[in-house]
Amino acid sequence: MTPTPTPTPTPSNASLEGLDRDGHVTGLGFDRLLYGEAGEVASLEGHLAKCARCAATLASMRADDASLVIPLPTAAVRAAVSPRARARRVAVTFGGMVALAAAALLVVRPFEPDASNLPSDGFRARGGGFVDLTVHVHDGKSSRTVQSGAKVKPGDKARFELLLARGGFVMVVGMDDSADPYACWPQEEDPAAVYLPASDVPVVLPTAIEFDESAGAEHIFALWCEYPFHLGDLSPAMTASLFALIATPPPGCSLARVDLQKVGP
Amino acid sequence: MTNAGPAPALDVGALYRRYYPMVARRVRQFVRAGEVEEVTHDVFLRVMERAHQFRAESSPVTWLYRMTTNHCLNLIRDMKTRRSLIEQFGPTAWPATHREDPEIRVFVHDAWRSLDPELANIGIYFYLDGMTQAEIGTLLGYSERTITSRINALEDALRRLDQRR
Repeated sequence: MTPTPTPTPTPSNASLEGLDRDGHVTGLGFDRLLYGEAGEVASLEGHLAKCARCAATLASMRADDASLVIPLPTAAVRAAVSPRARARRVAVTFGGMVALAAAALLVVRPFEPDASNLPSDGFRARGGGFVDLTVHVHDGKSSRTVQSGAKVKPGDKARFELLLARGGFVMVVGMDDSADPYACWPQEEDPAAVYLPASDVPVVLPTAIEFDESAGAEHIFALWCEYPFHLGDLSPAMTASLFALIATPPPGCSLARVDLQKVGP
Repeated sequence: MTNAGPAPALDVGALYRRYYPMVARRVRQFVRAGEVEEVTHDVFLRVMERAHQFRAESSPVTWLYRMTTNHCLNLIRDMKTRRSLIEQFGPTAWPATHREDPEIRVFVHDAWRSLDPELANIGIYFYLDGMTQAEIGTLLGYSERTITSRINALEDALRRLDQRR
């Protein structure tokens, strides 16, 4: 690849008026308007008030940006932006094998939550931040929405519903008494958190899990972070923190939690 | 999850989340739809490599815009299957500004590829983005006078190429 010389100075916006030679807003000018730098370019605001073409272009670009689902970064980008890469002091992480083994047991056909049994706010686990979690359980006959403390049985299936006050990277993680985290959603080896936009309407996740035979506690967490992360990023210390009675999310994250009690059939 | 440690000077993760749509839109002007995501990721890798060049008081929008343009121009110049900019971009990808200008036609068909990379870069901003000399100067960190001089050189080169056709 032929390198293009890059001048040393980083541009300020001292003389960026944002208008092209025909007097319409440039592509860069539109970007500055869309990304909150319009205050520096009053000429653009003035032009938009008079130019229907540019006003329409701006509206179209704004709609395009709002509807674009930002893809997860590639591994290379993720390696640079995720906490795992920024902090090289991860002594031990939960490997993909644990996640894969758990996920292989857990992937089950999802069920439709009972429409007549929509969760009230009382069934929604508040994240204290940007994510709320609702858990639907299906016992083979019907589904119900459960709160923390509810009893479930081996073979019951669970499906999850999220409500996000702010867009972010989200994963639903389960943990039993062994404190080994397993991926409830997305279900894959060392899953990456998925970016979901903010929404006023709860989102029912597409996959379900099935509870195994071991009795004991099952803790379900919806973990929201403002940055991408993987299940493997959950360090033992973090897991212990989640497992504690009062779970503490890492910086830049919030979580919602539902604690279930698995009893014999 | 572990703490991130000392905050980096430039939070590329935050840039990615906030400016991905903007960068992808610029990339879309240079590559085909199926290549946009990959190239956009490549731009952010370049952003990480160059993060030290960013000054906190500067505009992330202009910095990313310039870096994206540089990256895409380098990318398409090195593509094995060489196409004209018009084929590359499609006829509607760029504003109509000066599209009928003979110099632009020469530029977008082949000249951009044989020009000095810096001139080609300036040509993109001038002919296809329609920016003023002052705007290009600010964007690239040169004086308006320098840009005017480069554009004069660019126009001379394009005229010579046009006469040879």
